[in-house]
Amino acid sequence: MSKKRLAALGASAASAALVGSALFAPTAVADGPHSPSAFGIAADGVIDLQPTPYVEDDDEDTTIDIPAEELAGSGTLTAAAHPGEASAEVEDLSLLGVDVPEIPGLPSYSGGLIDADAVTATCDADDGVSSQIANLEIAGQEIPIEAGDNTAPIPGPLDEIVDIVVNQQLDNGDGSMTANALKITLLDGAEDIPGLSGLAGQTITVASATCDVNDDDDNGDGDGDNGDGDGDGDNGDGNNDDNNGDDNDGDGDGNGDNGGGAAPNDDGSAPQPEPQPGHVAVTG
Amino acid sequence: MVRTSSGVWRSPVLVVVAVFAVLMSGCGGSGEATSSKSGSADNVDVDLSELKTATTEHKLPDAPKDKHRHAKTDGEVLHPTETLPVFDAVDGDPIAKLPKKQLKSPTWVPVIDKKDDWAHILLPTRPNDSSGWIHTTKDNVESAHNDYRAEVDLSDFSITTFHKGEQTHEYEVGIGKEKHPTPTGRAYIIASVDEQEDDYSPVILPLSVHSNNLTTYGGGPGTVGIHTWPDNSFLGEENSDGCVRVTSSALDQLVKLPLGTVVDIVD
Repeated sequence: MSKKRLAALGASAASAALVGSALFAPTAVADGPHSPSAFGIAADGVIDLQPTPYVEDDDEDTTIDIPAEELAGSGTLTAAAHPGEASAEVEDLSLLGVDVPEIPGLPSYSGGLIDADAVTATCDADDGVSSQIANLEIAGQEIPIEAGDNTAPIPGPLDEIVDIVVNQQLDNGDGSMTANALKITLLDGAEDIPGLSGLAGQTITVASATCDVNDDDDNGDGDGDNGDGDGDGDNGDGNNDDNNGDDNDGDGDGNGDNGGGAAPNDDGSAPQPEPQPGHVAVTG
Repeated sequence: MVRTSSGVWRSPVLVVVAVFAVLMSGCGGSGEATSSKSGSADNVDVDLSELKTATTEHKLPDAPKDKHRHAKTDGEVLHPTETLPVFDAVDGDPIAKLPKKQLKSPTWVPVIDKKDDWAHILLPTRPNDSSGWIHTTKDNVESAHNDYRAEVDLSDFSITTFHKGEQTHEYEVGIGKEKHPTPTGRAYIIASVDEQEDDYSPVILPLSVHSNNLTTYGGGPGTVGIHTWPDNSFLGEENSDGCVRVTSSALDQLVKLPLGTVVDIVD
């Protein structure tokens, strides 16, 4: 359902398909979300908002009401969950926009501190998880998001005030995965901004989808894999790479580990690994 | 009495025992799960949702420690094809769960001991030398033999690679500074990362060990890794914060080592 609407939104200059790799170290979720499930928005911190709208198993819901006054949010939020799939979409998102926080050093703007035309998270048993954000603006500043990124450069002085994670992909350790399309954190710098004071540490998650994702570890000479490292159809171009779970083949043939590195060679010897796009913080 | 084909009379007790043994060994391999959360039949009683994931991010204070920190392994490495509980002993208590991936690479762990269908494996968690036991079936792991090994000699500032026991390469390295030394022990390569965020090395090979005196580093848990550096000022020097720095030609060879390759770090 949401795919048509996304197509209708079209590709404007600042929209980006975020089907790329998650750069964060794997996150283990001890008490994972229900699978399948989805929600449009949730907030944690001084403003506490339970996932809204929230659906699970075989259900869909749409709302235009973000029931947390201090979030001063608006948008059309849709969540859908069905066996083997889940999706969440928030259109015309605006957050923290009543007393539009003026940021020193930046021109005044209208709308909310956080605005986006569309924020979408999808989960599919065969295709895995992905996210899409169209036209994200923070304090009126266009924030371009490159495919494959999990963060985006935030212009100063906004970078002291807000941080974002995009396309967060989580392996819940039980066969399900979660895509959180956009996670916003207000930083210490928010304290000095009228309208944001008291909100440092606040997090807001926009568009989240969870479902069971099929795992096909055996890529010996399967579709789209890189058993012999020739680089075709894998995640080298950053499609649908996830954090700690199943990877999706770049040409969408389904799930599997990249590069066939999950099974021994024909002679039983350990396979040569294929470096996976990502990030690890090591001690220099 | 049963008469065998060779004409010798044998006691039927032996036959019964043989049949019984076949039945017993069949119990472990059926792979039926009565609960989708807990994996194969052997691990069926474990609630995985309560367990920490065995990754570089986590600490397992109850994990048994590797008692032979510089011993060679027989080269077997295992890849879990489903998330598996990790126990503190054969038939012991679960202490963690081993996911199918580490960072974004498939998980491969070195086996340091076996007992029937239990494998004693090294873990990528803190503290250093963490190990655990997994209960394997033909369905819940892939097994491979890894003929490669590496050794980092800290006082010699070198890394040497071996294939089937024969030395193949030796390179000069840089190591941790005195304040933040590279830890010793038999570590292993946990993943192969095509690094997107930091730009000092195109590929980073994170190891299973962590800095002994940096609990976090760069937003991470203080993972020690092997990587290169923009210039060669590190050669023969103690100037990293724990990582083993290698030249880019060394890295070109080291990235070929299978995941799970033991990197024995000696003083």
